[in-house]
Amino acid sequence: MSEFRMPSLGADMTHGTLVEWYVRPGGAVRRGQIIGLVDTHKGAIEIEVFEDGVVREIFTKPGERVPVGGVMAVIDTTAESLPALPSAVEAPSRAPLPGVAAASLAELPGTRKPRLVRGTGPGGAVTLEDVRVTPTARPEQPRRVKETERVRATPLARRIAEQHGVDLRLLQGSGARGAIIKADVERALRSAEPRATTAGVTVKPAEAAVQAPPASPEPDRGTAMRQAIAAAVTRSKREIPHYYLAMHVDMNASLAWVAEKNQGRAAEDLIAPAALQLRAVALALRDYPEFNGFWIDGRFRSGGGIHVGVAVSLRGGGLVVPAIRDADGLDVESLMRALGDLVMRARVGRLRGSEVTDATITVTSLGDRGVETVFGVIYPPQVALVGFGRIVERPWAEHGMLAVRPVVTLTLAADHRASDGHRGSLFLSAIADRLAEPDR
Amino acid sequence: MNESELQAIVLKALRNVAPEVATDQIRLDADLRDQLDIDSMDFIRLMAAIEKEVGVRLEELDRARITSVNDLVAIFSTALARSVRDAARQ
Repeated sequence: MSEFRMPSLGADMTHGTLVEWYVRPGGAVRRGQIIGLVDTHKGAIEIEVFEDGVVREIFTKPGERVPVGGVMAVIDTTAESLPALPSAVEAPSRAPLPGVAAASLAELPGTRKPRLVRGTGPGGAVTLEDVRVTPTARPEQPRRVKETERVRATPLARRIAEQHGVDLRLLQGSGARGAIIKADVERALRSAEPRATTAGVTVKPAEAAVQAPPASPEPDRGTAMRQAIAAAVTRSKREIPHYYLAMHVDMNASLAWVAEKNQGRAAEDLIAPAALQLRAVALALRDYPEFNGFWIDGRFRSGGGIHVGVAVSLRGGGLVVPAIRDADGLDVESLMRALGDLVMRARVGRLRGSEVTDATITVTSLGDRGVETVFGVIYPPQVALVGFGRIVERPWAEHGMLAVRPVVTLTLAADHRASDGHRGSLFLSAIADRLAEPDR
Repeated sequence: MNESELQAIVLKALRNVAPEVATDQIRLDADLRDQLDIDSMDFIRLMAAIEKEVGVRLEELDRARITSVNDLVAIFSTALARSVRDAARQ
């Protein structure tokens, strides 16, 4: 059995809200399959499962907010299939249900919501029949959502209370400002009769989840994103000793190359100069790997592969940095397709969890109608950020002669713990060389 | 396809790229990129959507001349007429 937990989709993420599931109990899943959509301060992110298996239990309901690490579902990763779901069973089963908490059964359609279940199976294990005969805590009526939610309680305490049919309004809160915390709910459970046996009551949410401040209205995503960006850049400027380098690069060869390739192409197949810029960075990183990775616990750790994060500005404000994996291995067309796809999905909010956490370096382009020079802020724990400004026609002197060329200002913001200016300069020169010879 | 149909296609494609902008607030003769804060990646996406819907491919030179909604309508109109003429000749 494998617990599917709310993934951390950023250093500063503490919670996510499930928007919808794409799978159901009983459904088979494959490693890498997208199984749901979660709303975070970075927008709606698709979450993937990393093992083959069959979905056994789903605990989290759409709209529910779950702390990072909180269990959302259980996936059976063993080869054998498990017994059918309770609602499909004809005769009451006396066999203990392996690894399944009675409380979780209550979430399935067609079953009751037990308050506490006494197990009559071997070793006090809870059987299907036990669940069936246990009276419900409350008469079947619509949950009075509004009233219980006016009660101050941490999200974790709420989950535990709901799973065990505990009424929050009857509890005394010992948390900040009288908020009900996990310990309060557990104390109430311990003093209640009949007592639940081992298999019957399991606290699912991760113990590591920090006690959140008392429940307050959900901040809107714009504010949450702003806070996430604030946390990242504050940490960056506090911890990373930045140095900055800039270089003017002649983009003539690259633009001519792109114009030639784009001749006769439909708009959907067009190559943007940005693709060449990203490719130049990815290839240059092969020779300057100290800019591709992370500074963690006092030393540099290689990124493993070259996964270029692309800073994408969002309409109405905000920033998200999805990554193009193994960018150095892609030809220009594939890179352009990946870039177009990522930018589009970033702006409509359909990025995948793995895309938002993968970047080993970030490239930011404030080109188009923007500024000429980007002085970037490194996204921790990365060690470098490459910037491209707007391509501008400039006088360009070469071999004692004057010409006009399309010029871009290429910048590097780098972590001085991981690299020095000399290597930084060579890295930028390598990028410039590749832009001068796009065919290489 | 007449010009008002073309314009409808253009505005629909714009809504996909800039969903928060009310269609009736888009100035037809003003620079699109400035008005709607569209960057080059979104512009390519916009062109791709319109080309697909209209069924005609523009020359890169023509694309470079586009700044406003009116430009889009005019240039696509010309390109459509040209492709109809070319098809008739064959």
